[in-house]
Amino acid sequence: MKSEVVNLRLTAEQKASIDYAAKQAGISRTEFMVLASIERAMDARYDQVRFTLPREDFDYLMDQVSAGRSDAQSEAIERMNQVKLPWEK
Amino acid sequence: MGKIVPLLSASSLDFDCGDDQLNRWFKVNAIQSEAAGFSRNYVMLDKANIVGFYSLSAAAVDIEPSEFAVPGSPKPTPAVLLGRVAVATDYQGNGVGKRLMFDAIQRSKLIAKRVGASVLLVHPRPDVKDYFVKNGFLALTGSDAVFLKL
Repeated sequence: MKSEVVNLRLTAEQKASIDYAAKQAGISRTEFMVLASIERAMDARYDQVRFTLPREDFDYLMDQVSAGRSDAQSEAIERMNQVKLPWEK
Repeated sequence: MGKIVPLLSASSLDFDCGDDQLNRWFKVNAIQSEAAGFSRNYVMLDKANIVGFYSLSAAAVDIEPSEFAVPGSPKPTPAVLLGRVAVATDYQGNGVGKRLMFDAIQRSKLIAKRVGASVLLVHPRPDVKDYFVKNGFLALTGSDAVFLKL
């Protein structure tokens, strides 16, 4: 559901560039801005290779790594291997 | 069938997961990403059809910069990143995603035997984070990413 509102300020040149591109794409300014920024945001998410954590989280993660996988984790992973694909049924 | 092979040995790039942006990345950027050495991509095939893919990259987990100066701060941890995962629309809800994830985990374990890496991490969209947690990944309060010991 689209419940959130974002207000922002642009220069006249930026607005004109966006409006031109949106018109070329045959979509509204809002649609164009949403599509373009979501695309950029998802690429940033998926391409991120350096992850920083608060110290507490980092220490907790390292403790979990040292402790090894729990039985529940190992079982969950094994279940993924047990799935039957459509052509294997 | 269900074979998982490197992207570069697939005979076509025809793929539709229902997400325009992931489709475009797969068709346009995946090969460039391979060429640049930024990711290695693996595709699952049903005969010649690509039914899903995932990408792996080297990554690192570190503490926040503000805490670097604290005495005794830990070292960054090398990791394998499961970047993008997608399943073709015709095959969604059939276990293909789970099998891809399992393959990614096994492959990452092999990688971690050759180069140091202690965790596999995924940075999913917030609305699919639970899917990874249900399948054994560890969530942390201060990060969107989820983790699995290798």
